[in-house]
Amino acid sequence: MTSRLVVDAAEQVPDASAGRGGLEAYARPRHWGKQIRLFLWALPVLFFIAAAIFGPILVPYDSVTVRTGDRLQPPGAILRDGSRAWLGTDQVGRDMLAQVLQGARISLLVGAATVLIAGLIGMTAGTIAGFRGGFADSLLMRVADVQLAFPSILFAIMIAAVIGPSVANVIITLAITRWVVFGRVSRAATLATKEREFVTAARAIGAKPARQLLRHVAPATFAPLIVIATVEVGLVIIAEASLSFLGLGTPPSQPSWGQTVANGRDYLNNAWWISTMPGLALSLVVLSVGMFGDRLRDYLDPRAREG
Amino acid sequence: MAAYIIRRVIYAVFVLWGALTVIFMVVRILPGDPASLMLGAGATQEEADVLRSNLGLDASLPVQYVRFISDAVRLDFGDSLWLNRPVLDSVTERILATGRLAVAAMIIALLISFPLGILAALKQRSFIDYLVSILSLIGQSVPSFWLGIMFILIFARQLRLLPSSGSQTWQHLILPAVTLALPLVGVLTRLVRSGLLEVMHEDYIRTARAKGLAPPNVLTRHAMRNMLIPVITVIGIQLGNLLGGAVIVETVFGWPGIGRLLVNAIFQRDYPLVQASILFITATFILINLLVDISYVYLDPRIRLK
Amino acid sequence: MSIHEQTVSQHLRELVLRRQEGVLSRRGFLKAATAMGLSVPLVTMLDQHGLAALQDAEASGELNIVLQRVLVSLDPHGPQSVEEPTAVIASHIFGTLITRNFETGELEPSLATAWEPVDETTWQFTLREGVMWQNDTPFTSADVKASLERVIELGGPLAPLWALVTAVEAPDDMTVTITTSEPQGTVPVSATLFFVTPAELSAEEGFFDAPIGIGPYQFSSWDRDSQIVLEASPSYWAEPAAVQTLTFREIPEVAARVTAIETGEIDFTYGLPADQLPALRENSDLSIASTPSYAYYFTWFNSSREPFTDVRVRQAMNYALDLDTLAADLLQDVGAVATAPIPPTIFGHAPQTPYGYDPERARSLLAEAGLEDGFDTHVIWVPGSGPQDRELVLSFVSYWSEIGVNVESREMEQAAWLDDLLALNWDMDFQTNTVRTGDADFTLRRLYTTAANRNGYGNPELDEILIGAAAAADPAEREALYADACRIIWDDAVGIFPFDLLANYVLNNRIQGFEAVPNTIPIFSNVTLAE
Repeated sequence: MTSRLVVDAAEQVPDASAGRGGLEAYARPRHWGKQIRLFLWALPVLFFIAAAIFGPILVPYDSVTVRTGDRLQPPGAILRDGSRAWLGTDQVGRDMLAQVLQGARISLLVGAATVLIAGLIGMTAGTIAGFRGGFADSLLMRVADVQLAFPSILFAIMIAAVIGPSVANVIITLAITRWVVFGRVSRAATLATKEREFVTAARAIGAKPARQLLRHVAPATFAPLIVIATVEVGLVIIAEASLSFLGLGTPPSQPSWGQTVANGRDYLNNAWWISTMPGLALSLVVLSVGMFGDRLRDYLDPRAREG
Repeated sequence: MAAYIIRRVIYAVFVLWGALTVIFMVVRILPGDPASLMLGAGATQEEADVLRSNLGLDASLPVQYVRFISDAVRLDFGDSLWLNRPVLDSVTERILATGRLAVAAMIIALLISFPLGILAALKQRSFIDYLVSILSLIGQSVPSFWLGIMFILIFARQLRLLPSSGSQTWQHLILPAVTLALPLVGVLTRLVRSGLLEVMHEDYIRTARAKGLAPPNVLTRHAMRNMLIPVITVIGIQLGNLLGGAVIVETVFGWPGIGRLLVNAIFQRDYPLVQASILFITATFILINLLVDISYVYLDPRIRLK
Repeated sequence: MSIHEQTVSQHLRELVLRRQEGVLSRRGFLKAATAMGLSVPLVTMLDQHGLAALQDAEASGELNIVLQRVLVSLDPHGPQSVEEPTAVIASHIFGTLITRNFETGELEPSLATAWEPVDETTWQFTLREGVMWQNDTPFTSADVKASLERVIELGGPLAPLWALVTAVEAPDDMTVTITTSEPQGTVPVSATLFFVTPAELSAEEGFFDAPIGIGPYQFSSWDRDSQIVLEASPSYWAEPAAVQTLTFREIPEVAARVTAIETGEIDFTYGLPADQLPALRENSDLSIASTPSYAYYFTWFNSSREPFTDVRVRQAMNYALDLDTLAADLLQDVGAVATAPIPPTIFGHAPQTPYGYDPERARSLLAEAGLEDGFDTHVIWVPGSGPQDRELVLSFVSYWSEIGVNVESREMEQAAWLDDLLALNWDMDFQTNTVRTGDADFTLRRLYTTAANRNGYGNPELDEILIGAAAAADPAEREALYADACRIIWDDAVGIFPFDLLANYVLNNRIQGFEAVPNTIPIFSNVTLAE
């Protein structure tokens, strides 16, 4: 189906055939200015990663102890023990700041690990299918079409219901529903690359298929995959929040942002901060990853740059 | 062209069969048992066994599978275990309700995203371009259940402009449709912008410009038409996704749609209902995409020639 | 339902007369009358009762109601029969032989005017004369017999109440006898949950999609997962309802439900979280009717698993919880610290000595049991099972950690939870339960006998008490036996019985005369609307 190729966030895919392995093509000194600008766009993302790594160390999160006497305190309130809750407290009196920082760790972990796993599976399947063609290719495309035909959130619900709640299971669930995107993009990129001069040249000088694939074709598909990955990280974090809303997210001892947003939603009219603080953090991360992805695409895609 | 369509239909049937088989298996490896679920925590093993055999759940898996596929071919989906009524009735009712919501959301999304996308493309690299791209990203980055509840609190509770929940009148449609539309606005705006930028650089547009055609003419006569192909594709895909993907919005706004039905059916382990819902969602998805594929033939002469 | 326009009225009268003379078919009449813009329920009423329907129609106004769960089925005998929404609708369109007066706690006649044991194992019911179904056929003993047999045959959650029944006989039109294999004193109580449906029609496919009833309301329309509409029945055998239309709507999301009751979109709801109530209480358009309910929280220990095989460990877990603080901080107006394994609203409740918050004692009990370093365990529960459930589980886990017990909270999906629960595949279980009949037998005998084996606890002494209590016909004797049962369950710490729940009904002030019932099955047939 022609339509399917465009499905998966397709407009974000830079043209892989534009240069030999997009990334390499631009890793030259004359692009320093652009690289610095790209780095600036990555700063917010790096900030959140730093918060996820160091935040819980500075403001430790205690998933067990509750202080029901200090529940539903607004941001900035002084608690009974004299400490200040900068982002308020939740429905059992736990500090929201600690929870948001811990949530950063879980949500970013889920986002990154899912994309990594889905990316690896998708890339392996997609490149082999694209390179070998024939039965492997048909099989991949059929499986992908079957999976795409029903909405991923429903598929995720079923898998989550089967394997139960844990952070690892949420990652597995989302990776299973997300690999298709990477598979299709890598296949398309492989198809485009396989007939290009440097590959045919390698073939002509007698390189074995495995070598052609690993040394020449696969690297050329990285650029589109990386751009897709930045888009997918955001989508995965949102998808995890949706699972949490339906009660199939991470376990309560390891609350993701989505989990906290979902559990606080009954309090939106009297304690808005419980749901809004992690919700804000979540949106900002998705937004900054998205912005960075946009810039990265422009950077990697010569045509978009021209304009 | 007939051969093209026949090939597509055969392929569609294959995809349907694959989806059904996967679902049949996944539903049955779910932990939990519909009979004891229906009886509640107080029931004994014997009571559950009686109900289970009444429901036809004591047959072996291959028998259930063959029965299921042959019934599906005859469009006989049996009765829902949980709702105790023909599955087909529930599913058609709900898919229409979701369809209404999805189409409304799509119209809203198109009405917002086309002007925004065109504006951004025409003023590329300007402040407006950045603003549009940030706004469209925001639409995609807010969890829809949080947004939906905020809408209820603002528009129903504070301003008292719209009803909070339900599906009785057209006013009930507004909040869920807008909530559902916002992430779409993001996708479509970006698509319109990049699609337009791409065709603007094509030779024939340059030629048209060089001929001295006024920019609005270039836009409508040449650029738009070619940009429509990816846009229509994505509209098709997104409409299809909305059928099942609207479940969150349906839950928040109490909209009696197919997504909510399916999720409840999964939670209730109502096998016939789950299977039929998926079949209909999948079939609709495939049908929409078939129509999209056929629409290419009319939009792009090059495809017709192939 | 006044028909203002004279011409329409004239025309309508003619139609109704022609229908009554049999000139017009039912279908033709329905078509012609609906074409005049009349509502379907009104037309049906005109069809059934002729012009009398126009004159007798005093009921007026509409109530919008939201229940706390989703209505799935209207069949009061099947799998959904104990679900609250099904029972609420059934209470309005069908009827039971006996009802319970919640003020006095006494059983009162309804469709049966009298009942008595004729011998040790047989109960006889005398039915009310002259009662008509909404399709104008008379109510007889055949309906009762068929309905009860249907309950037993369908094997739904009410069937176990009738497990000992060997025969249901209808010796004449107005008499029903129920014979059991052993003496069963609980038959009249069970009859308060047993809805009578029309004998022959109930067997027809699709009957319960649009049922014909006998109660104060009749079915009008049902849009699943959206709303069900009932209209006052003009042919009701007792005092007819004052409110013409009841619309039961579905609003799953709490924020939306609270918004709807505040804005007047809906007039009635219940089961809201405790933290929503203070704001609603301040709203001058609303009132909150509260009453102790039939529902309560409990945490079972799996007494067949180490270390809960040791009663000292189970007691230690009880002593570890500061229930008074939690009730004040978390539950506020929706719950109170419990005094027995069943709520005080239940027949058979006997207050016990509270454990109290005593972490020192808890630690020393653990040490006696050889667990001075604590242990690791888990609790299974389903989110949404009761008010503030997540908050309570989190708090319990926190308190238990104070005595060195690490409890993992396992939040589960209903179906998976039930599977594990029934298979005794758990260490601890946290949930709510409702004593549907208002009688201790419903809960204690079903859940705590060795044969039931629901929590790994077995005690021959308790078995004997519970079986004896079920057989006894004398209320005083039953009460004494249940007091013993309560004491054993409480002192042996089969579980933790932390809180009894209150029912909080939130209603618009225009509703008058609403009775806050403990069984969370609100009834609207006797409310009126203020202008």
